[in-house]
Amino acid sequence: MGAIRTVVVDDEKLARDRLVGFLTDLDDVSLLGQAADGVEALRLIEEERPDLVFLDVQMPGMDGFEVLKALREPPPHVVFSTAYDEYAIRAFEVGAVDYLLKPFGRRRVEEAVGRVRGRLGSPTCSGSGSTTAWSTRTPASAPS
Amino acid sequence: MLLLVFGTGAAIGLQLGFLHAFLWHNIWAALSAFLVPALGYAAVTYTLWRWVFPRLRARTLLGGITLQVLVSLLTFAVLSALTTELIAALRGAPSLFGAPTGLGKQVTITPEQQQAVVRLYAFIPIVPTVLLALIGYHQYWQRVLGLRHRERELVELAATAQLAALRAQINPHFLFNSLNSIAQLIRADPDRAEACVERLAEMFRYVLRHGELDFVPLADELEMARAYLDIECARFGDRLRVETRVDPPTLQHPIPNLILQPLVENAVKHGLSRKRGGGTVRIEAILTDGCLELSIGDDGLGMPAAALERVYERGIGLRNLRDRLERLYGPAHLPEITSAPGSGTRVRLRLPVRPAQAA
Repeated sequence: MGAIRTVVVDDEKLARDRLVGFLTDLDDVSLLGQAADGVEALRLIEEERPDLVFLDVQMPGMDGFEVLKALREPPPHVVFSTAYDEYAIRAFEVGAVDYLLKPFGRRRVEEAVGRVRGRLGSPTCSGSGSTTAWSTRTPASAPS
Repeated sequence: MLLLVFGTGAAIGLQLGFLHAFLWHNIWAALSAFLVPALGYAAVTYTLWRWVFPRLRARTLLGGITLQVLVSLLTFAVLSALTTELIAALRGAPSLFGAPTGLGKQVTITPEQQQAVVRLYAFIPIVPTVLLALIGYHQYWQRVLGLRHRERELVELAATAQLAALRAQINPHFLFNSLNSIAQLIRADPDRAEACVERLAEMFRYVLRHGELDFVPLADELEMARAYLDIECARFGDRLRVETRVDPPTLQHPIPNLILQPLVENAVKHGLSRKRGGGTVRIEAILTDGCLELSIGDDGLGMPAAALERVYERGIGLRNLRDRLERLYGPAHLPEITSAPGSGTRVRLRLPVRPAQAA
């Protein structure tokens, strides 16, 4: 299975840096770009057609849900990342893979990527079980 | 309650007892005439009070009392008739309904005794009157005590609510977002992380230290707002700009605590955080006509007139602030909010040197 092509969307630079820092440490994640608001996110996702998007909810311009709604089919896998727990139900209703509550650490991000890996691996890709890679990685990762 | 019940019985018994004593000069007859009705009436009154009255249902207080009086009258009338008939059956005394009986005995009553009887009878109407008055009085006090209890409950409830509102002053999303920023700063810029932690601690200490009724110098409130803005600046970077224009004489002006930071937070959260490119928060303080004029503005999203009308329904923080200002300074000093879509929002407060209640 190829690298998970990923985009990070958050209006706060520190929050983006944090996610990017964790993701670059993962071998099978390739980072395509970052967006700081909904409009930028929409453009970037349409351009790059990534496998995975880390998406903030409250942002200038369009919020995370509006971005998702505006995307062409098929949408990428989405992991929401927000300080608001009240959007969780809605997030899973629109098919989110995971929901990261800020503040979160490295382990939680790796767990989310593991879930995406599982979804990407099982139905389409043949061969190496991606879930195995995830379960061996999790205990080894340093808590942050 | 018991005193009332037995007092009533005793009063009735006493009257009958005196009658016997006067009319027949028989101390035993007088004693039994006292004891039997005293205990009997007391028992019946107690039964009515305890088990019958609570089961009566009426919509108004007057209706309730009327019902109680009617029930008592009926009960006592039936009871008196039954007693009379019982004595008539047992001892051959005059019956209420049967043919007249009796010994036809002549009794000599001295004019003094006659007068005493008349005097005694003059007091009989007092008994039910006193009884009713006591019942009414008792009910009134029950009601007053109930109301007082309710009032105390409400005051306690309000105190808890105020405390909760105060705790909510530091909104959890701000806290979690800040912690997320700090977590990142710890790796990227440890000095800045440290500064942010300090600022966050200052905010918490400030909120916990001051009660709802405290007045603090404007300088303290500015410092609190500054702590908040420093943290938000770390989060939002150059998207958040702050301009402060404060007249030095205003710095010592006492104002209710925790009014500035919530307004600044509103400006950041609703005005700027969702605007592309961010914007500027402007804090101004001047003294005019003995009033501190405090203005918190932003050049953010703003809101249409319809949203502005419902602004107090949507924000607990703002509503709390308005209620506090109204309590402290009266309706002439409510927040003045102006807003227009695209050109931002401005809240203006005019705070007298002394609060109205202290004057």
